[in-house]
Amino acid sequence: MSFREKSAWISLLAYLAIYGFYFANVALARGEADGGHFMGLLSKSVVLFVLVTVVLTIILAIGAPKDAQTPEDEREKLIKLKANSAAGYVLATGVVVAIGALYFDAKSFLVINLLFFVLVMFEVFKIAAQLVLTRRGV
Amino acid sequence: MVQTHVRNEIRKLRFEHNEMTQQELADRIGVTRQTVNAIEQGKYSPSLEAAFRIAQVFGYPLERVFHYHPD
Repeated sequence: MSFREKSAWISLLAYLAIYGFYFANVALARGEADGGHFMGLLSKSVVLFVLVTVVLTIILAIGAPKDAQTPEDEREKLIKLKANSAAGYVLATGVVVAIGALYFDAKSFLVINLLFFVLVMFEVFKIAAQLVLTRRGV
Repeated sequence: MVQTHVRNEIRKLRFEHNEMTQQELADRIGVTRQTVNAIEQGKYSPSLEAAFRIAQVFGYPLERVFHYHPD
């Protein structure tokens, strides 16, 4: 498995574990949300995500310095473009749902978290698509 | 697994050229080893430029290295 593939797996698992924990807490609150508490939890989740991905990617890069320094080639760029394009549908759908929620006077707490959830799903879908295209072929 | 319509003789030609490794070929044409592997397995059709570079490494014309199979 290449450095970039391993790095993508790290990001994917970190997204699912860290933001999964955050959104599970949001879901369990069932609208009885304390905005301050969740803003704190969100900030901690973002910092933890950055720390985990940066530290693990640095460790990976130390283990495979040549791989880590190799610029993306034409196949990898094509994979990224296709994955981005496919994930764009997730983003567009999520934004339409958020607009719908606003139209029906949803609480700002719900809309903010819905938009953040859409952004996380966009990234998760993009990385998953990259991993599939890398294995399956483009 | 996705299979492109472009087949190639890269694996055979590598063997004939002092058992050149995928990494050596990748370094000479400026792509990753994984991309050379994907091309060999027919999972990725290289750009025209990369195809010419591969053919140039082996010293053959393009059509000796790559073949188009529409079916």
